[in-house]
Amino acid sequence: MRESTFKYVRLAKMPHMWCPGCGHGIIMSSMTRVFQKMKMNRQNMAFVSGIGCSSRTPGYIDACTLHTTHGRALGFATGIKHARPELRVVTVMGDGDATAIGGNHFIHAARRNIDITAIVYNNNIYGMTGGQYSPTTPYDAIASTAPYGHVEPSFDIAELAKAAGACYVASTTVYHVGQMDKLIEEALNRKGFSIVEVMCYCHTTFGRRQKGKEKRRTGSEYLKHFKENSLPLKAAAKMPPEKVEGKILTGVLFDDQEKMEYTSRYSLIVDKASMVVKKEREAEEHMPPIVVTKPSKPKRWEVCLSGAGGQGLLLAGVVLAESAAKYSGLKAVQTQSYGPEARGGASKSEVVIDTIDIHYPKVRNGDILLALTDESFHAYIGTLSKGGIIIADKSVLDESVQEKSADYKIYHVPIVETAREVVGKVQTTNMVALGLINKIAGIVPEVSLESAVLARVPKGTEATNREALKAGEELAEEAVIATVE
Amino acid sequence: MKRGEIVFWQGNEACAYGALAAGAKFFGGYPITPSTEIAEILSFELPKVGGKFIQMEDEIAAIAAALGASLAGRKSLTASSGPGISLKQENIGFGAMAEIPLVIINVMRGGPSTGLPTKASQSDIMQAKWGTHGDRPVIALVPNSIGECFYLTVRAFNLAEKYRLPVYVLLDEVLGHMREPFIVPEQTDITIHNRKDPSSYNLYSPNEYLPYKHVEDDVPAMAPFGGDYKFHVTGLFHDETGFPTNDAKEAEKKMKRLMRKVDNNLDDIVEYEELETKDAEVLVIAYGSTSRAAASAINDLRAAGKKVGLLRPRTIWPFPEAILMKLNSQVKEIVVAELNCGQVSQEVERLAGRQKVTHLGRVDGELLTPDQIIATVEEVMSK
Repeated sequence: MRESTFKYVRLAKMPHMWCPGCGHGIIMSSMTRVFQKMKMNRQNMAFVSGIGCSSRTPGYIDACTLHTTHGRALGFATGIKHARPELRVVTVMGDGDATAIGGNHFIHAARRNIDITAIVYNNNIYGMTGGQYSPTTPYDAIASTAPYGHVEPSFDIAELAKAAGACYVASTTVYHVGQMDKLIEEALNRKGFSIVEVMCYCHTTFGRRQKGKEKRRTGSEYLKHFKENSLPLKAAAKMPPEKVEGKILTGVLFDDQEKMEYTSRYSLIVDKASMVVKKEREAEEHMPPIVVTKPSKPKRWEVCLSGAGGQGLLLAGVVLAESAAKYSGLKAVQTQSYGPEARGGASKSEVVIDTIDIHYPKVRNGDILLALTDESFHAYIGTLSKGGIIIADKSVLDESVQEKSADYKIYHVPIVETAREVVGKVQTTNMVALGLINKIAGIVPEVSLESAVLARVPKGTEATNREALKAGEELAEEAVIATVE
Repeated sequence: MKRGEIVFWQGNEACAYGALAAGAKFFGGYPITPSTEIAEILSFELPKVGGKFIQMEDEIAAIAAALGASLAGRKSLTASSGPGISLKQENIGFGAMAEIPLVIINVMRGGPSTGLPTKASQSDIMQAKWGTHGDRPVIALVPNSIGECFYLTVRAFNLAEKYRLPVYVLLDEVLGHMREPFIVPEQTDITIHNRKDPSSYNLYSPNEYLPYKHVEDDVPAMAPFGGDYKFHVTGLFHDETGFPTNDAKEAEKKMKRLMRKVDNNLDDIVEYEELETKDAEVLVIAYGSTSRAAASAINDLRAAGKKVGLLRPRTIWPFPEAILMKLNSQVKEIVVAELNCGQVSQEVERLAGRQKVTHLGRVDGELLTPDQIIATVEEVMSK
């Protein structure tokens, strides 16, 4: 290690914890040489790792260093980089850390092309825990958890990173130190997710366990192996496949300097957001003041609006509650109940309105039940007090209504049909229902309901929704209570 | 949204705007019912205030990113529901060990496993307390109204920053999706607490800075990652410098300091509300949306001349032990109403040293009703 690079190293933490003969220190040295060459500002750097032997590197680098949980280096690094794009963020990971437990984070960091440089120490094994097979352990190799020889195929980390979307992908070995310096420097100079895979080894837990010519007991045997069995990618491209088989390919696999980086892309939406802020401020300035019209005889109301998912009942509940809370000087709480399906199923929206604070937010002794389907009629009738009002759409079966008409005041009216035929839009069913309910029960002043509707519905649909409310009110005038025949 | 004006927010919405009011600048999340609205709102609002939103590839990465951002000096949060919180647990432990401020909102939906995604539950109370391996200090707040969703989210940030730890806000599906009117306070009326920054407090120079110093108040100053202060952070036991140690004494010192951050500050952290407890013979304990059913029940019972009171923890962890012990010596019976199989009632039993605390649970995804609570109270009174 050159003295000029010492300022990037926490010398007080030496000697390091790696085994004698381990190649991890070679990779760390290379990084510090590159940092020194690039005159990297240590105050502007975050150095992040997960768990494993390689992940102990940050402890020896004199910068802000973060030793996280297993596989999660890129999750933490993404947070740091996204929060503070001005920082230079480097992660170091092992093969298991990066591509097994952290595999999901690895491919998604690459897909986002976030400006992080990842140095992957690939020694084909879980070294720190004693030599269990990893996603890069070769077929037939012996590991402490593959005593009969490994039966799984392995990942090609560089190809994986390239396919996932990294902007720069390169591979080298701990023998090729000059190339390693060059590749790490290039990676650090790319704006995007750049990765350098460095083939290293674990003679302690892996090499000595192998059989025949794969058996390697020392670091120097490995260095010799890397020297004799590596091929530059460029040379390999011109050779017949049988000569490339089994070789370690080194060099730059992929380099796209045009690829848009994540934090840069995100900064573009900030401009869009500031346009939204401007529009919102203008809208606020022109917002009409809220006019409160109190009902002549305010009382407690418990209303259940029910039907199928997609009929707009949640919105109807919100509008009714807002007409009371915002526009009528009353208290109101709205809750909802829905199934997993966005359309269909039984759905309900409950509204409690009172002149005093409301504790229990649900319907306890219901005053009104709106049922737009036969299913919801039966599902929710239990919440209604005896003598309560049922407003049932014509799609609720005649026999359902007849069966209950002795105990409740039932209005059996064509709500959906009115929305479809009179208003001309079935989507306004919820507003027809609101106009109808309020006309029958007189929950809030009509003007309060209209104000609440107009404040909630999408721009450009005000006239249609106002028409729907009116259609509902007119429907109320024709509606008669269903009686026992 | 105009400050000072009435809004009609959902609980999830109030949490999102509470986070913004507290100064949150980062959200790392993953979609999950019934908490998704928090992510949706913050994806829209954060870029407007110079903040950052990111939807990560999974729940684990979501909290990792949020912790990374907090370490880099930005107030940060994540939100999820039970299944997602289960996945976040390893990094909740990391946050506690590395002493990184973070707010975690859990809109509870029940379980085990995938549970009832669109229904209410309060069955992650013990998960909040114990969910991650090892011991750790825990703060969990339980709002029961839209106003409290807003204010307790602000408070969660304040406590997270003040004590350097992840703080939970526990909602349930009813509260997350419930709407009621709320008047948005002026920003100047909101109390904000920021972490002790060694540079702005002029506490230490970069050379003498110790990120995990054993200071008198047990909360060391926290410099942002990337700046003059260079330091090391690890999930391993570490000494004052932040570097790993195997020293038994150092490990014990660290663990005890972590626990003292909460244990020695109960007066500052624990909040609760009492309703009609003065002469109560039966005490109902309820929290979150269940406490609203309990309040309705107690109003009805009092109208019928029954001496019943309500203790409503706003801080569920640490549990409001002092007030419980005081009321315990006064009341004849204790009823705990909650949407689980007895998580808090067992805690109350343990603390109060009672043979039996009556547990009224509901686990079908629906909220307990006032009538169920009334019936249980009447039953214990007639014993």
